[in-house]
Amino acid sequence: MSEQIRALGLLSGGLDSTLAARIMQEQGVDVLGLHFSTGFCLADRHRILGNRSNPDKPYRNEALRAGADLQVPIEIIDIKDEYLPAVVLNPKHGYGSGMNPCIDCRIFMLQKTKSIMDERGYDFVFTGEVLGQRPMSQRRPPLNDVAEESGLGRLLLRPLSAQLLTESIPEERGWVNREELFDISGRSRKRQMELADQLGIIDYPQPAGGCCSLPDQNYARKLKDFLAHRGTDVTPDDMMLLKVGRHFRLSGGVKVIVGRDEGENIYLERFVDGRAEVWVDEFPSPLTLLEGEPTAVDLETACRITARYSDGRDEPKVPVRWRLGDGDEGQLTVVPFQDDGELEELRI
Amino acid sequence: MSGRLASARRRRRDAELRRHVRGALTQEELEGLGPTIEVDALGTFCPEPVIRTQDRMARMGAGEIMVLLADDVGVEIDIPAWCLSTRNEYLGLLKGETVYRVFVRRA
Repeated sequence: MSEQIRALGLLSGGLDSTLAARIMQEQGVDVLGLHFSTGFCLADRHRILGNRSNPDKPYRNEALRAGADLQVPIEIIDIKDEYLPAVVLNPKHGYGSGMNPCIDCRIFMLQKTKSIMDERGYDFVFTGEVLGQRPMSQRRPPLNDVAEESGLGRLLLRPLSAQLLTESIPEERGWVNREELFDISGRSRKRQMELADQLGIIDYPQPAGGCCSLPDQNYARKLKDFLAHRGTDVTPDDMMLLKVGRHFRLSGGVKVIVGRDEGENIYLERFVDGRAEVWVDEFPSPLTLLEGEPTAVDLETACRITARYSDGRDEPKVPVRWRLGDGDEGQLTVVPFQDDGELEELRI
Repeated sequence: MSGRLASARRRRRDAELRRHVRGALTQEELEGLGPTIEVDALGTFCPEPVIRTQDRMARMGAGEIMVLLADDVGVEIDIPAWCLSTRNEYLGLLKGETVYRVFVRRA
């Protein structure tokens, strides 16, 4: 009786990684799905703010959903603490469109995966990467770099593009049949969707595009600003706050975070302790939080920003309430910001 | 796969998930459960409640029951999905005003 081949797969829950896992199952491989939690996942933000189109139906974790559909056990690997200093701040292979160190990220995750493979006696690792699908990390040279620098080399199999790549050890040794792997390349998802139909995979997120905040240029700008003012001593709360609200930096270094809607206001209430808060009682208004030690001028500016985003924005003057982190509170009557140019200079 | 077949398959899968999401025990049975291992994930969001669940479950023996305390609404779907994928038994949840108590039995 032949030995059961066991593989670790990186499973985001997107179509490609789901397909890769199903292809491995079809070839009789016993699969454990690993899902890495970096702290930069966009789904966190969706989850926090709720499903606005259907409040009773929370956003799901796609990796867990895929694991349940495929009957593949999922293990979530928490790399939040290491990820920022080890990957995001000084990526050897540089950034993509935002602060996304995609190649270094793959290398880091696959190094972790290799350690788990070695410790637990798995035979190889596979991913859902597709040659040419992503401009930074899925061209042939970076795919090779990722395999080599992760230490996996030819123990890394990409089932969707395997026939276009150098033969891997799992193929060479007959653990999987190369003829039954695929030659998919490019950005179109047409072949993957056809394959999903053939394999009975009917539930996957639309559209493609990843679930990471770091490629987003707005997010990257906020993260860079944070690092410039606060250094790299980042808490999970800091990371979550970067995903929510309009952000402004005042001249003294005080940061202003303005909720964009009711969901964000409710979320920001969780972070009031230790921060100053600003709001308008007379009109529907955002909740605004201030980080740092605001001067009287900062407080007035924050009140004017809050009034600008309240329903009193067209009033000549708006009374705005404030409460400092130490409990001191009061009210300022201010002219809402009208000059968007002036406001844009403060916006992060 | 035709659209009709895909729809039928999706309905079957959703029905299976719904059964699982309901949990194996009634509310009364959950209330009456004896000593359980408590894991606190209050104030955390996905995927932290699942991480705390998997980490604690890894140190439990077969048949032991864990109760997860959480206020992330996502545990209603994430914990059943995690149980379905890992073959642990989802027993159900008790929903308070803001706190969920989610019960899982180690396979």
